[in-house]
Amino acid sequence: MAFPRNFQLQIIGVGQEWRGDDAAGLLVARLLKLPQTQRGVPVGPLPGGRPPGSAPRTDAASLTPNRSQVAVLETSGSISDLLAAWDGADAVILADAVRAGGPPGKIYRFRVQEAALPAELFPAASTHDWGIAQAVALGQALQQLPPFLVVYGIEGQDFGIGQTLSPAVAKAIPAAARLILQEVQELLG
Amino acid sequence: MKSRTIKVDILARVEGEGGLYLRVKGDAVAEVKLKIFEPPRFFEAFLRGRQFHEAPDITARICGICPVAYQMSAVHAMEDAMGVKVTGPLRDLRRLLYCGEWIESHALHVFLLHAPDFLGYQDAIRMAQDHPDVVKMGLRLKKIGNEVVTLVGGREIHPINVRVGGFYRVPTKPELAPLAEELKWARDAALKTVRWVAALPMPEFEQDYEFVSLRHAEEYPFNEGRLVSNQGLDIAVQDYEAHFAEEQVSYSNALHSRRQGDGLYFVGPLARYHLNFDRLSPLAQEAAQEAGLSRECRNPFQSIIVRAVETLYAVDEALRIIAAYARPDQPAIKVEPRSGVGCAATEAPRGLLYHRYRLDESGAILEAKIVPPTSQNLKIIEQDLWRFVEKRLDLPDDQLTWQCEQLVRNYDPCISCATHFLKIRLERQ
Repeated sequence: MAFPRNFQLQIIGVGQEWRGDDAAGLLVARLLKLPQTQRGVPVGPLPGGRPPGSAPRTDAASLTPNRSQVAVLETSGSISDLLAAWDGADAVILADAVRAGGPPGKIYRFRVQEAALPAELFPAASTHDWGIAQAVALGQALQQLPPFLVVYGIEGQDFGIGQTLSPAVAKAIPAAARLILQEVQELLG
Repeated sequence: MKSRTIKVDILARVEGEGGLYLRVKGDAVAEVKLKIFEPPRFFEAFLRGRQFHEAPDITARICGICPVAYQMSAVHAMEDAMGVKVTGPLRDLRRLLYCGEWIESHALHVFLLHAPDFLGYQDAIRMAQDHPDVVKMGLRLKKIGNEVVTLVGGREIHPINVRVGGFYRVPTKPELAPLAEELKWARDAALKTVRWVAALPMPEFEQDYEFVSLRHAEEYPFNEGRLVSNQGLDIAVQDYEAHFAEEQVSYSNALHSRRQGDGLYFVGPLARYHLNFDRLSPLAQEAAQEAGLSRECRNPFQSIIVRAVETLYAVDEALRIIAAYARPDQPAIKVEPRSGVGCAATEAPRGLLYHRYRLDESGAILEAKIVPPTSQNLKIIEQDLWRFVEKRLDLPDDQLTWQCEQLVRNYDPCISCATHFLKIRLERQ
């Protein structure tokens, strides 16, 4: 897929920091914001980390040196946050925890334009608001989806209260970050 | 005898988890139960031992949709206990923050949760395919409400800038200026919204309710006022518990509230509108009249129109506050703890929210009582269902179930707050 040199790529980590494995998407985003040399550090709950939703758009110069067109964002995944987050982006890569019934830590990749996102896999941020599957469906209905949208799902195991990750999910976070980096590099050429 | 059951195992498009069970025997309703299985939250218990200044941030966590309401009731109750009154621009900023919450909460409910019911769509996503511009307008309105909360409250969900005595930081006038520009667009959008919802097909369902809300001498109520009803109640908020009591019901994790002696009462937008029409801004009054909304409106389905009118009011009021704003020298007034009891009620988007705290001399909380709007409306919802279903027993189950869900959503119930919601089951015998 060929993109113009000035296109904007938005990476969005979705999750809830205090619900166990649901933090996976946030932690992938946080890892991708780190300078390349530090990306090898073990990933876990980050005490005192910026709460989801309050993070400013972070220019991920560290992610792709010499490129200003990549931004990394963390969000709790409410529909309005997501629609706003991909507004104007040419390409969006989302990372979120899923419940697909597979082994914990398994990484899935969905190319949204090819198929609808299975709503039952993505836990909604709230029963009053919606999760990313509904945000994607609403984006489709309103013709407000970015031209390129890929969702990485990380199979979670424990969505209980607290900041403890399941070991398999903790391992999957750097792996998902690597896959996203590869995808970014392919996109940017 | 033919038996019929309507059961909605999980009610969608409401906050929290609950279900509805309806049993019909022959041509009469035999049983209606709103079952709340959202687990109890225990906020009142774990507030004990915490300091008075922690209450606004702790209680904000009760709800992600109306955290401002919890913060406002908490700070006003604490200030009542300490004998402090917040006035001037700090008081205005609290109203501005509340405007933001009403705009985002009402826009979410009107466009994404309730309107699909009236137009026969399964959800807002399907509605968006046929009415994309309406949904886009609703989303932008909601976003503007969120922006008000973010600017005044520090962030859009569970704001962190509210404290007993005022705020941690107050915005500068130039910081508010861009908001005013957005709010001017929102005023036109809210006016369009009133016209759009007024044209929705509206079920006939006039009921005789006791409406209860705050009433203030000059303003449409957010933070202050006396507790009044259309049946003669007129009391200070401090007397709330002498007139209203919570009770347990075996099938629900939420308490039900009752008016002492008289039973059922109704809180929320329809009650506020009914009791405070004359306190709306001229523009909101005009829009309501143009929409054909009677001042005496008693049809809970028309609450969607009232929410649109209140959204318009909140936008108008926010613009008024921003225009008149002069930044106060101090972000808060000093509050010294003392022992005593304080209580307050404010108007959450869903209705009256009552808090009472008993404090020791160091300001530690000895006892907390929180009565959210949804638990005050649960009995009325059950009564509405009973009366509504009785007249529509000839409808097939799927249509009846649909209309029952629509009826429950008239109240925009927040079950997470009330457990302290919805599957529907209809059983015909």
